[in-house]
Amino acid sequence: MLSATDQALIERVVSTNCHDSFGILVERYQSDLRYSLRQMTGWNEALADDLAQETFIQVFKSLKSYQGTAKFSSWLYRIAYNQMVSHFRLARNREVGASEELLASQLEQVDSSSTSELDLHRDLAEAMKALPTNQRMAIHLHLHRQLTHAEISTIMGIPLGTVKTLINRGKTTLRDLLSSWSPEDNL
Amino acid sequence: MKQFTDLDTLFNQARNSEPYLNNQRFGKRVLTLINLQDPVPFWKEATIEMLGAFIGCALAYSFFPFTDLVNSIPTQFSIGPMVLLSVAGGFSLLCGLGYWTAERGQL
Repeated sequence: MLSATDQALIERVVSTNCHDSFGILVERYQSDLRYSLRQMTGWNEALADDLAQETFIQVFKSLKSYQGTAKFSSWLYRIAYNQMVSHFRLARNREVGASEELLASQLEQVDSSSTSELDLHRDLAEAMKALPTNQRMAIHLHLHRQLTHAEISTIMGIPLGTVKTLINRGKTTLRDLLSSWSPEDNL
Repeated sequence: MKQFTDLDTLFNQARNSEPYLNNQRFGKRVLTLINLQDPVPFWKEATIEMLGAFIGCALAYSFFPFTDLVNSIPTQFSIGPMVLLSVAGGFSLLCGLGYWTAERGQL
């Protein structure tokens, strides 16, 4: 069952409401999505997992409307992006914290032995926070996930030209920001 | 932060060392939430309830001593002043309790 294609699993979920098949889809994509959301949220693990959870629930609810014209991963990222944008819009006017801190204590952590390896990812996520949400997403999808401009355009629901602009502006800002950092900062 | 070289190198490093995030608890939580949001269809719920009621009735019929119960119902009543007083007292107590329960929030 693990080797079934995304399309076969989706059809099974839609026709028989099979939760096991959806579980396989979750297992297949959760790590990538949660990592991407951590990069988008300045490595806020609790918030990223919360958004990923909401994304998968939304995906399950609207799986019937998935037409298969775009890749499933693109559709998943589109929903996740919308969730993230809505969250940041709402969070602007309220304090986010207590519930997330509580959730954070319940979340599983990556092995402590790999903590030093995570520094790079955390630092990168921290640097990305300097960018506006849409630039952050475009840069991550382009440079990290290596998606094409057309795919990014589909995920973010913006024209191709805007994607290119966002990536160029994001790169410039990020380059300026990172070039001012030196190894001594780490001491 | 490691020494900055260029964006492509940095993102390549990040991509190549991307950790796999454990699905165990996350996946379970997602599926639990989906189960909670997925209501049981009406026909399924009704069928289960009917089946339960039928089994319950069948068990009650075979084990419950209906005849003894019917025979234990008194056929004659004698109402004396003490019985009347007890009934009136019990009724007053129930009324008082009902009033106190209903008006408790407003007292």
